[in-house]
Amino acid sequence: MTQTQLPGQAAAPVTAPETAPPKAWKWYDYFTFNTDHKVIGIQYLVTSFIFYLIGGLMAVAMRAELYSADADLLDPNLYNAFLTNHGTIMIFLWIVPAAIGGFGNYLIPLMIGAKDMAFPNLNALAFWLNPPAGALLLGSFFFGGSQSGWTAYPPLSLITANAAQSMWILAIVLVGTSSILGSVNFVVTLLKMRVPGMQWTQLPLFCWSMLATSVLALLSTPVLAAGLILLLFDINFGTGFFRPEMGGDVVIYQHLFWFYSHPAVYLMILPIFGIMSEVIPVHARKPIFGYKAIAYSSLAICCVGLFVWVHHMFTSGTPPWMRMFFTVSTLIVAVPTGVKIFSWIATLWGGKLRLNSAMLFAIGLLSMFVIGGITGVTLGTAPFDIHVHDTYYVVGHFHYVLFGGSVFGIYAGIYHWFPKMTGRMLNETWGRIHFALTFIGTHLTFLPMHELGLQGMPRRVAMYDPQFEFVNQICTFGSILLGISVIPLFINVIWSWSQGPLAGRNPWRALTLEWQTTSPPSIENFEETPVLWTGPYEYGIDLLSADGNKSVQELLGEVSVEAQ
Amino acid sequence: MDGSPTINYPSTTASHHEEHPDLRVWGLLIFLVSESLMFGGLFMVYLIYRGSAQQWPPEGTEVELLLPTINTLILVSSSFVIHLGDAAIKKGQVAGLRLWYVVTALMGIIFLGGQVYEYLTLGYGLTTNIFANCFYLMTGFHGLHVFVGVLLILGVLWRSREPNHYSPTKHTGVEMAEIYWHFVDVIWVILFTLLYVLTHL
Amino acid sequence: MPTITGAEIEMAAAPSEAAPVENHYGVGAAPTRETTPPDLAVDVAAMQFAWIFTYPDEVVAGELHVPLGKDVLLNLNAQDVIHSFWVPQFRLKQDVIPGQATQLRFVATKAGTYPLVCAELCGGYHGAMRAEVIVQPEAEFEAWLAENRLASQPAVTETIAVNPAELTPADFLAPYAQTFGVDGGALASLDSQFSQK
Repeated sequence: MTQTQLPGQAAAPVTAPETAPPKAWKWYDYFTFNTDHKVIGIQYLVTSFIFYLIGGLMAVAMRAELYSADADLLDPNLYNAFLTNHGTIMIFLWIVPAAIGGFGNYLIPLMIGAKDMAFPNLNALAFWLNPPAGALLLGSFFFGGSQSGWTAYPPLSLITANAAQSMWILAIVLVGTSSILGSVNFVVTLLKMRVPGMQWTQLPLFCWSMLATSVLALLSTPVLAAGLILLLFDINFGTGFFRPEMGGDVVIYQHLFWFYSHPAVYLMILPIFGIMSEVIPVHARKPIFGYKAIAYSSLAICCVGLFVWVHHMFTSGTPPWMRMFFTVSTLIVAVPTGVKIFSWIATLWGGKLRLNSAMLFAIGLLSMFVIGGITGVTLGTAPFDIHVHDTYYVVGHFHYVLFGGSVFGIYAGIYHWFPKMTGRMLNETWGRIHFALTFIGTHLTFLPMHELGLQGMPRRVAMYDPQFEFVNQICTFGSILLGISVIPLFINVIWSWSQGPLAGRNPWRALTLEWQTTSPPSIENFEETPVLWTGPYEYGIDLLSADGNKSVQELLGEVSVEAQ
Repeated sequence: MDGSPTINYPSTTASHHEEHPDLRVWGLLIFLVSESLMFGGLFMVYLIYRGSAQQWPPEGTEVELLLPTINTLILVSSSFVIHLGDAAIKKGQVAGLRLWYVVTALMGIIFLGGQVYEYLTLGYGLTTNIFANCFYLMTGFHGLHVFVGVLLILGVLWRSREPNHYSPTKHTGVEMAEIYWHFVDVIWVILFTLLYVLTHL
Repeated sequence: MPTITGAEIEMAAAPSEAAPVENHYGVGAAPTRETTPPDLAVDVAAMQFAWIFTYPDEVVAGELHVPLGKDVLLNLNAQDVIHSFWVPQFRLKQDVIPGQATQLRFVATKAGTYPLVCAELCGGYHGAMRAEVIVQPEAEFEAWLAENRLASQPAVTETIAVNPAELTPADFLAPYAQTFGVDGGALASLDSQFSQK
């Protein structure tokens, strides 16, 4: 070959081929202390998915136990260990790391046009605190497993399975530290590393929600850490903070715990709200309705969410003024949440909906979350809560929020961003089967639980009144369906990762910056500084020309040059 | 703005290929906000127990005031000393930085020594009663932070051996150690007020 | 120790057909009602995994008998961990917290037998910690009380199945303290010695 070059090829060295980026991580890089935010994001997602399966198996085991009224399948103490670790794993090692660690790390630098997070080393450190925490939790089963619920209320947590309880505390402190370090990183990255020219009002809504999430994590997590350290000292070093016989007060622990753990609920749902705000406009082909309302409502949830925690303690002998105050503050949270819900519905309204798997999960989430939200409002009301507190009604409620909400959101995010992360499309048919199974399974498992609670079945029981047996059997069948529902996703992800059709840069024709780069993005994210030529959600406005010469469609075409 | 497309053209986007500026100070400040809430939780616990107690501190677990006051003076003045080090490096005087940081580290170590001495002479231990629980846990937890602060200062000193490691324009590590030290100091002032001054009123 | 006074439970306007109980106390209750003495006071001890009810005159029972239409005060005490006193049909729930004297006050308005459930995780057999509330006309209640007053005694407390391994020496020896002529102080010191080990 001579050195003659066709004009069209001049750009070739700059625009890397889609299939083989010049520099790409090898498979083993994903098992090392890697500082690339994309590697860390995938490490979070894969690790948390493994824990999701472990926590899910515990759930199915518990449901199998509850198929009959007697404690015949599992030893009651093992049942309690399962319920404790199911809750802990699902919260601290599945939803939080997947939604915040996984999507947050992967997407934020890409969405704001940065090369990486502000502190890459800290980021990797934050991830690597998670596997030891998981190992501690699983290892605690050799010592009986912690059996006092994920709330670990003393004195029960002080007198049962001390070694396992201590390991549980250390695990939570590890993931809490990870969460704080991660949040520091997110806040600084979002404040300081946006691509020049990106105004706050041009920030994708996922970034807004991650900002609110991080602030909330920074303010609440340390208080839980303080409470758990006191608990650890009570168990192992003879102090009496929470030992009534030594002058301690067990209710103080509840305050410390819920000061974190109610915001933790928002930690698990705010990133999901962000995912919703990305997925819905892209697949509805419409600008998001009420950008500012959605952005500021995240911050409002973050602020109000810090002052509602006592609604978990309405039966703990809280004085009447507290019940009154925290009922009102809890109900206020419904306002910014409702703002979001209605904004998404308004975005869907009249859109050219693409009902693919990501969109199905997003719309499914809307319906589920409305149910979970409404039962949440009922629970926030002290007079009603006194009846259903610590019953299956609560279990039904928070599974609608955390499964119907957070897990559906994570699924929607996986279907939406899998092409970006791997460069390959997921199979749509399997995606829809996955959605149908999950949707039916969720309702079948968790809807009857409300009835159980109202009728008088307490939660966290291995044996119960035989009159509740039939409804419990429905729940058990639902949980088996939910267990099966993971299989299509699992097959789909593994197969598509290597065999799926190539996605190209921008399969969804989306406008946020992460779709401007290759799929998967190169190690430095963008070969060139990304061009911020439009706001993140300006879909379907092709009649408006950009500068009088080019339509938005043409500009979009320029940005998303396909390799082929 | 809303409703119409906002178009930014490449001309408005400066190149960001250069490394981003050092953001570590921001990170540290945000981390310290979080950290202070951990102490905040402990303070609240302490105040609740104090509020519900008949006698506080209970008979036999009083604290003495003289040594802790001296200790407090040492720690508070060390905050001024460390600032002299920071001021020195801003003028490019590495020797001044090292001198003042050595002095600060020594003051921190003296503080920790005084703390240990106090523990040994108080006559009651961690598990004696709820006040003792709080006292040892809170001062111990703070002591741990002082210890970390001393390590940070020693780290700065270690790195300052290398010529030109710190310069008037590049001394983020120096500043971070100083900010952390101030934080530890402020926490101590609150602790000293809660545990010592207010128990003697 | 802080005392939680009043029943603090207010109904969400539930008709008494749905919930056979009236709650006069709590948010919005007339303050005068809280100071009137109850018609019946029962001490309720919650322990892993049983409820023990002590009536006036040392009548001890494993189920809660309540006279119809009378103002009942429960003095709740937890022996070990947190329990929660829940009568679903009454829409009443109150955590029983160790180290805190807790009270619950209500008027049952419909005769019948209702389940009493522990609603706060209290250990492996939390789900089995169930008892019954029997609301009966006053005459029937008095008859039941008289019958049990005769059959009563110290024996009843000892028939409750407890696992000695879970008790501190002081707790375990408490019932025998008077027989042996040991006072409370000696028991307390025994307890502290034990917990230091």
